[in-house]
Amino acid sequence: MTRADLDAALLAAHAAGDGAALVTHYTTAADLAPDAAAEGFFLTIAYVYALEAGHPAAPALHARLKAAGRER
Amino acid sequence: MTTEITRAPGTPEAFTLCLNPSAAPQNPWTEAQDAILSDAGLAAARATIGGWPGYAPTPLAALPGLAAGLGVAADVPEPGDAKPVDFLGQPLLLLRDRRGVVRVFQNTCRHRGMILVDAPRRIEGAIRCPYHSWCYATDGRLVATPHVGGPGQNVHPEVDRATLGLIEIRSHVWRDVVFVNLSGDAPPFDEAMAGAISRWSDFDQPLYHGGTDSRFALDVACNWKLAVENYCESYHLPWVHPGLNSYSRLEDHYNIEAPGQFSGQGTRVYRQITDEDGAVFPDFPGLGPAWDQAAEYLALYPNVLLGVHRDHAFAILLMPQGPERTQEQIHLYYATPDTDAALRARNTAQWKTVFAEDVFVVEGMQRGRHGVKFDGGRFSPAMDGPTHCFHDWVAARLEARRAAPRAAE
Repeated sequence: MTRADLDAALLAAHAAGDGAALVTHYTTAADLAPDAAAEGFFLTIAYVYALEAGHPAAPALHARLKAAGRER
Repeated sequence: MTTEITRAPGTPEAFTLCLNPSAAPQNPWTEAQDAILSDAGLAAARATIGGWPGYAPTPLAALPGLAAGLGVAADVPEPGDAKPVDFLGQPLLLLRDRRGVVRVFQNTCRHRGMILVDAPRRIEGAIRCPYHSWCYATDGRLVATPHVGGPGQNVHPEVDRATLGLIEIRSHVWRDVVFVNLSGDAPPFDEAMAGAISRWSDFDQPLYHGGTDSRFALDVACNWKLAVENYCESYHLPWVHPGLNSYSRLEDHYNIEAPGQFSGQGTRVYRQITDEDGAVFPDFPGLGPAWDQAAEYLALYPNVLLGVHRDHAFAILLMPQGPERTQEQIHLYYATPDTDAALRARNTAQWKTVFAEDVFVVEGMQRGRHGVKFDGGRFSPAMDGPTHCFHDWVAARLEARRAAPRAAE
């Protein structure tokens, strides 16, 4: 997936209010991030949408943020 | 902007009409305007308005020790269901949490005061503020503060989540009605409403909302208190509900008065609704013969009107929409969850007819009481007791409120 594809997928997910897709695509953005700061930024957003949707990925995203010192 | 001025009919010719030269938007704010909008100016305006004939402060908003009806638990039937309710200008959120507990929160984010939920919906996971995405669990705990310590840093020592949960409003559910106490200092509900709970202890058993066909709302052009007044008494029945006269006469009704708590009326000749084949709703079990033909209707002060019958019950929430506007929200309940839909529809239609018959009365009283020479009227000692009881409660509340600042001085 190119960065442009990812951007388009994120915008489409936002437009559709598709919580599960937002979790997936922001997690991908975090995985592809060029540095820790960008990873933390995208991971945070993925986590928030996972919390909102009651998505099963929320605990894993939380653990990842906590391990990076970004969440308690 | 129009620059023409027309003379209102009846304005004397000698009266000079002119535009206010200061009213152009480009002109500077004047000292006089500042004075009007100063604290002292506004206090003077309040005092003047308070002296107007017929003026009365809306007593419901700020009265302490009050448990008012906000909605029904059936509005949020499943865990996660949330319904925002604007109640007396207060943004509240009626919600059933993950464990099934009905709660009421202030519908306001602890971060920047944003409205959290703006339409009824199911909260699947957490309540996310749409502004900066602070997230709350359905039990009110603040569970996420994204970027609060900078991008990607979701904690900050100055932001203590444990102290920033949603503000919970004290609430209590009785007969499916969600009562709230905004001031937080009302006595326990079971204590404050002991009389009503005891009176209707026979009906202290599960009741089932009839669903979408068993709820309706009436928007009426009157103050909420007039709807209470009318509901309390049976005096008006022969004239406003003539359909009752064939089987339910005035002498078949009795007054119910519990000063300081509730008032209402009862009937000894309740007749069950039937379908074409004579089928009826199942009874609430174990009521005993006393309720075979009896029904009672209570106004729980301030704004909850309840009715019980052997085979169904109802709750009416009077939701003030302004000094002269009220929404009556009506909910019908049954003894079992699987009643006949056609019979339910018939019952809903019957009650809608009855309550609609009352609309011209409450709206007419609202209009009539603008008469500056109306002196409060005269109560019938025999027939108006329940309404008098309500007036006494309102008067006592107002007196207590007015006395409170003096006592503090």
